[in-house]
Amino acid sequence: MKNINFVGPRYIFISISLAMIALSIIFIFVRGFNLGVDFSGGTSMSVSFNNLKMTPSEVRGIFSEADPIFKNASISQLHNLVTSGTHVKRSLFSLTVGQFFSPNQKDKFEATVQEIAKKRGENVHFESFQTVSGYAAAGLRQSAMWASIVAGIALLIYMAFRFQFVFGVGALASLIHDLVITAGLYSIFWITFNSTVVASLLTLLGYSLNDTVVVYSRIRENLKRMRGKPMDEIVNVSINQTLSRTINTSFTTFIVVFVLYLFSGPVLRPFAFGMSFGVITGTYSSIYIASPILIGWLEKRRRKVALRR
Amino acid sequence: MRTDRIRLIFVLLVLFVSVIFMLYPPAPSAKGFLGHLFGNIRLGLDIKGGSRLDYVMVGKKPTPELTGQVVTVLRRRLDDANFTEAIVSAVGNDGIRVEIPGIDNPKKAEKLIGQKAQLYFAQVLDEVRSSVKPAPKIGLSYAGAQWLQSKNSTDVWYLVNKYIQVGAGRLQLSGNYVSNARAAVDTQRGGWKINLTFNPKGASIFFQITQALIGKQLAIVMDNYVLSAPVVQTAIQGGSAEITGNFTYNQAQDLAALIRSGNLPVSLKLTEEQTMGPTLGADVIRRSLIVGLIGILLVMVYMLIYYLGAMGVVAVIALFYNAFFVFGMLALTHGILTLPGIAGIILTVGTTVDGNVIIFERVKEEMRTGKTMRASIAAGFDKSVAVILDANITTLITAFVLYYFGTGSIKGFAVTLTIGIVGTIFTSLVVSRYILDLMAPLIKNKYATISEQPASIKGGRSR
Repeated sequence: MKNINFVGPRYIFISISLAMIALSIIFIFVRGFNLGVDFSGGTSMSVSFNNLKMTPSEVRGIFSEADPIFKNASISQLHNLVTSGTHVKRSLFSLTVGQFFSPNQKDKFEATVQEIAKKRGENVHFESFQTVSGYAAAGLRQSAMWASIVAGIALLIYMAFRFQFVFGVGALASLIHDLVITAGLYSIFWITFNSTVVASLLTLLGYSLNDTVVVYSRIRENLKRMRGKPMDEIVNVSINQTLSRTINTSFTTFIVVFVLYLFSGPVLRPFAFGMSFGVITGTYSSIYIASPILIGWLEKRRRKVALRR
Repeated sequence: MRTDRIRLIFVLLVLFVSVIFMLYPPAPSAKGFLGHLFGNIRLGLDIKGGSRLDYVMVGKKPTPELTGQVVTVLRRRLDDANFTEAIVSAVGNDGIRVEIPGIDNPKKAEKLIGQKAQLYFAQVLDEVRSSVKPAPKIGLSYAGAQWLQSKNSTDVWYLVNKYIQVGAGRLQLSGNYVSNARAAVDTQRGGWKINLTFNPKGASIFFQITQALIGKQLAIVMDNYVLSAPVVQTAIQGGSAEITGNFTYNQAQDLAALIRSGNLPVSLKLTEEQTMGPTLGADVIRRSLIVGLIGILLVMVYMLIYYLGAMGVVAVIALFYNAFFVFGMLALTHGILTLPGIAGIILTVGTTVDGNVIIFERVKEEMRTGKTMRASIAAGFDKSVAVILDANITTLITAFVLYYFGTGSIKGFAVTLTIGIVGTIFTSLVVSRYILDLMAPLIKNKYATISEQPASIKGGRSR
């Protein structure tokens, strides 16, 4: 069977990863996240027009006439909306502003928009509407934070039970690696960061841990079977033995989430973005980071055990 | 083989249960084959359309009793207005969530929920036409009185006192004494009115009040607006009253419903609203279905090509099996399928493949040591159990946490992910095992040198 040398150039890969992590941290702290309305408070709506040639700037024109806050709204055109059963197509836009709309404000606003659109010869429908007050956003941020903390602690406890200390540290390092880099990508590419993204990141933690668990349990097995062989060889053989599993699993998962990223609507796209790139970093880290960084520690431990004998 | 037979029974039983719950009871609105297959799965508001309204209670310190009271009142109001599918629930210690499926415009529901509906009767001390609120009157007889606007004409103001002078004492009559309220045709003035019925205690107070106020105006006040202020003609016995005000049918119906369901002990402030129109919802579910199918097909093709032959077929069957399992369990547990929930199902494709790949790779390794096919399969599965459990437990942990902390749609993700993981474990360890065993005679072990070799306990490569 082919035997690829993964652990030889490990310092190069560890350096690349450290650089990626540093870049991500800089982006996260300097630029921050493009928070979704559920985290930042505000209103996001999707509206459709019967005019398929409608442009975002025309939409902005209509909406900012109704409420000047829409001058700074983020507006993007989505796929055309087709009513099921008919073949009537409507152009679809998503608009986001940082202001909360009370029921009364919403009623008035919608009526005004309808009126202005009518004057301009356009027919507008409000397809979806989400408005979040600062109070609710703070609550959601808090529960997202708690979810992350509890999931993190639960996974740590699991790892403590499942691995010896050295392996636990390695698994933790690769978890942090995947989490920070994926979160950094959200900041770098300015992808909406909302509560589904938190779900995506937490699921990713589980996935990344999967990959690591599979390689680690093979290393443990091989530590017994290949006693006396150099540590980097044991680790490298283990990575190679699990390689087709790692690649197959990651590739198939990547296929489904990437298809989801490409074709699903705006709601699931931020989620699928994290899953797609998270699977890539997770695979990379379980091959090039999680196991190679163990070599030094495992060797040290082996020397200690040998001395004691 | 006995274990094989037990496996077969489990495989068929679980599949049977899944399919039964998908099909039975037959969904009333189901259309076509797909409609019947998925008709029993409850869809979240973010897919089928509807509104989620989150409120926070303000005005009083929230207690469990208070929250319960608010939920009951809202429940009654929504039922009364025919939003019977609406769900009212308490969230945290001061939040109230109302979820109403299927409506295009939540305006009416919002109006019903937003009103405190505090109804009371009050003595009218003065009536003024003014565009602004008149200055308060000072004097002993005006103690406790306040200016309130008329509901019908905004420039009419009444000076009312809810402590009604009856003899030497004062009496109060609030909506809490009303036992029933019905909309009825107003034969005298046209339009609609509301007939009120008091409970016995309310009837007696109403009699005393009307007796004291003969020839004077009695105001009916709701949420600090005067609904009407008729002049009392005679003392009314029998405990019934009417609210007139030239209402439309809908206004009278809504008002009657509000009075019937009782008043809210606190004010509710909207903190979050999410409304999804049915057109966009239908579009979303169609897209997600297509996306899911494309993803699954690509994965199946990949598995068939990578594992040419029996193993590829096993992987494809496993994918189908787990899909049935997930949808069946969703129908069985009445879990709600939300948009992130669909993402959870799509992720299940990944975990199912993962389980199979772990096993196949192990079996292949065992085959390389020259074992028979059956022995390789047995050894391969035995060595994969721990890894498969490990790999899925980590995902289960996050799914549980997300279920506990997540709001509606995220909870949906946690639910499908959990079901998917359980399905993956079962599919990998039982279903795939059975089918692979079944196919064992068809697979040729190209590594086997001797036709029959004793199954060695110690697998792996030689040292």
